[in-house]
Formats: sequence, structure tokens, C-alpha cells
Amino acid sequence: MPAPLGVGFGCHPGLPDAIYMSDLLDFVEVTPEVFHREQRVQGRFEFVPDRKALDIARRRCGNLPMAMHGVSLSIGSAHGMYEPCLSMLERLQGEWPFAWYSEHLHFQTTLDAQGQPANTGIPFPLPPTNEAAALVAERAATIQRLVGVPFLLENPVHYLPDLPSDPDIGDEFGLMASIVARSGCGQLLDLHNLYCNATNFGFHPLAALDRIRLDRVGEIHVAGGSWRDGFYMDAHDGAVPEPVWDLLDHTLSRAPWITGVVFEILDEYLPRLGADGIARQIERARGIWQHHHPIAMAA
Amino acid sequence: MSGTLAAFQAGIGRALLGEASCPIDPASPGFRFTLSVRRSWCKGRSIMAARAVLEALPDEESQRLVSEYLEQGGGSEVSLAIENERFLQFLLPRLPDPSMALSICRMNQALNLARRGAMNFSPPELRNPDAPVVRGQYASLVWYRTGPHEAPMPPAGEKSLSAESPESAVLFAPGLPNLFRLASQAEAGFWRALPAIDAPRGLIASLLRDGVIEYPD
Repeated sequence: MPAPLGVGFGCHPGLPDAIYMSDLLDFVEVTPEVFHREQRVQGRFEFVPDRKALDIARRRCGNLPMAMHGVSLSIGSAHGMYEPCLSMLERLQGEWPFAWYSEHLHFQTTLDAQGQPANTGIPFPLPPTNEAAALVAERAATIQRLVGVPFLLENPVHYLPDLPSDPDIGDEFGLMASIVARSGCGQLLDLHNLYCNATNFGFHPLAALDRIRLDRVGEIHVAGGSWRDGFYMDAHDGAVPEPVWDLLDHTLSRAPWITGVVFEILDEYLPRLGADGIARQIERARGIWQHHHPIAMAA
Repeated sequence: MSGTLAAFQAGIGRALLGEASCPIDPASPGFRFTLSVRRSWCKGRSIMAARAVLEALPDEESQRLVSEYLEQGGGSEVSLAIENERFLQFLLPRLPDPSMALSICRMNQALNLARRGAMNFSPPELRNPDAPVVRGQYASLVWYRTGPHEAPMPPAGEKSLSAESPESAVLFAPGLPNLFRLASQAEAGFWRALPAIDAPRGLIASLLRDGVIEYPD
């Protein structure tokens, strides 16, 4: 991973330019799919750049180091991951170079009765098995070679009980550890996802952190959520809850490979916090980061 | 784990279609909550994919169409652009004709088509003025109607169109700046008359340059 950067934020077209021009941010995280349109080209789907949107994004954020955070690779789909993502990244690396690339450890396509890929509508977790670990590890290693920068996998949030498992893998932490060990990729540790799963499944997040390869955590996400129907949801709809800030403080002192922390919020909830509220979340993350990385911040 | 990853994922896929083969207990609160989150995501994605069309309909009708789309498996695309095309295709035969909603739907589809054509578009070299021409394969002409208090909706957040009369025509083509503009009466008449070429040569040349019409080969 690159040298520690500090605090980052997503590239949100709906926010004032000032957020990206100020000293508030040390890097920006871009979801490449937002700046592309998926189109059928000669019988195959491709991500075609939305030139206008990309140019605006580069004008706003191009002065900051950049990380790519994809959402449509579906790295865990047994029938194959979504290859157009990789072509898009290869092209983008030449156009707007990024320091690392991250994706989610889940699947969101499966095969239908006719053997055609079908979207599941939301991401689903992988069962913690050797087969899943081997499949994703091989793909992760390939991606890392292809894009030429560190590749990080994000721990998922989900609400499904009793996923089928292999005893030597055990659970989501065993699965991630196995993939990281087999592939050489890193982890994007989403502390809000961890907090959600801990809350909904009744385990202690600090105990879980003890089982995570913190020496392979390159980036951390924090976010807000809300309760619905008895579940705590990873809704990305507001401020980061206090227990997640505590987890960040706990983790940063134990993650030697870390490059940055990103506060996540969905576009539709930006007005709820407003530009000032978002700045406060970023400043809070910065304060915790600075406590653990005073030299990097001063530089 | 007994069974393979592919079987597990196929089982989840079938469970989402309501078939009784779920590898997770379908009666568990976690699975039921997952289905509820999924429906909410699919609904939100559908509304986002065709917001302009839905907003031109009465609320009740709009909600009914979204529900019907979801029942048929809509709203699950990862790509909003693909969801947009799929939902517009679903809506097209179900919208009142004539209606503002139908015009917006057609304009959105026409814009998508022009956008696809624009990826590889270059104006043709002009041939003999009597050479036959046809409608461009990525071009469309869409009529829209407005009442005295209805503002015409721009199809993709671009600059607003200004209506001169209750019924106006918009040209969509891959060579047009912003991919669309209001059509003149002469252009609309010419489009209707195609493949006849009884039009001023200057008009034909300009429409060829913009991809509104093309040579047939």
C-alpha cells in the first residue's frame, strides 16, 4: 500500500466543490461505475465512460490521490465475475491513475434456470467454505496482477443466519483470512459492516477484530446506519455511531499497513447531514487518525 | 458444506423467485428481512431509473406500475442504465396514449439510442445530392404534447426545451450537440416523408451531418 494518506471521502457530484478543494481531505474514493454507462457494444456489455461526468469529477478531485472502490464485480459468483469491470479499470488506470482498488466480498449474480446470469437485486454473502475461499483468492490474485496496484476486499454486511460452512473456515472472518492468506490481497475493513453484523448476530466486535489480519488492512470504512424491523442496517444514511468511532480508535493503533479512512454516505442522505455535518464527520475521523499517525499528517 | 458454491447460489436465486429450494431457512427473520431490504432496493432503483416518466403520472398509477414491474422481477439490475432501458421498455405499452408520460418515455428511449450511436459516430462524406437517404439507425423524432400549464421535461437533465405550441417535435441523433434539439416544421415533415428525398439540399446535408438521416448502405 502507499504511505499513509489520512482521511478520504467519496466523489459526490451533489456536494460543493469546496469540500474537495479544502484541506479537509487527503484522498478521494471513486466508484467507477458512477461515471460510466453500461451499454451493449457488439453483443457484449461494456462500461462506456460518461465523459462529461468524468471530466467534472477530475476537475473537482483530480488534485487528490485517488482510490477506486467498485460495486459490480461480483467476485464471488460461482459462474464468473463481471469481466467488464476489469476492462474499465485497466482503461481508467491509464487515464486517471489510482493508488489501490477495492471491491466487496460477496456475490450479486447467479445463473437462472436457463443458465443465464441473473442479478440477485442485493449483494449476498459467500458461505465460509474452502471452495469459496479458493475461488475468490485465485480471482483476487489475478486482479491484483492485472490492475498493478494493491487489491483490497471489503468484509460484507448481511442478515442471513446459518450460512453453510466448512469447519476449518468457520465464519466470515475465517473466510476473509483464508482469502487474504491464499491470494496476497489486502482487506478493506468496513467497521460499520462489522458493527452491524456484530449487533444483528450477537457477537462482540472487539473479539472479531482479534481474528482479523489487521496487518493486511489497507483501508477502513466508517458509516452510519439505522434500525428497521429489529435489525440494525448498514444504511449509510447519517452520522457514524459512537461505538464505530471507538472501533476505529482501537483498530488504527493495530493496523500497520493502513493507508486511509473513508467516511461513507449515500447521495440521497447528503442533505440530512449537509456540507457542514459531513465536514464534522471527516474532521472527527481526522482527529482519530492524527492520534495514531501524527507524523504522516504533519507531512 | 454439502453441495457446491454454484448450487448454493442457484438456490438463493430460486428462493428469490419464490421457489421452495432455499439453502437458508426461508422462515428465519434474517431471510425475511433480506427479502424486504431487497424489495426496497429494487423499488428505489426502479423509481430512480425512470423518475421523469413516473413523475408525469398520477401517484396511484405510478405506484401501480412500479409494483407490477417489481412483481415481474424488475429493479434488480446492478447497472442503472440497463435498469432504465428495461423499465422504459416495460412502461411503453402501459402508458396512456397520448400523454406527457408517454412522450417522456419515448424521449428517454430516443436519447439512449442516440447515445449508443454517438459512441462511434462520424459524419458521412456527402455523395451525389440525388443519392437516396433513410432515417438514421440511431435517430428518432419524438412528438410531445403539453397543456398550457405543463412544462416540457428535458429528457436527461440537459437544458430545457421550450414549447412553441401544444405539440412539438424533438429530434434525437448521435451527431447533434447534446444529442437532441427541437425539430423545425420542415425537418419534421421531411422525417415523416422519408424515404422520399423531396427536400432542400442544404437541409439534407445538415441532417446527414448530424446523423438524423444516413445513406442506406
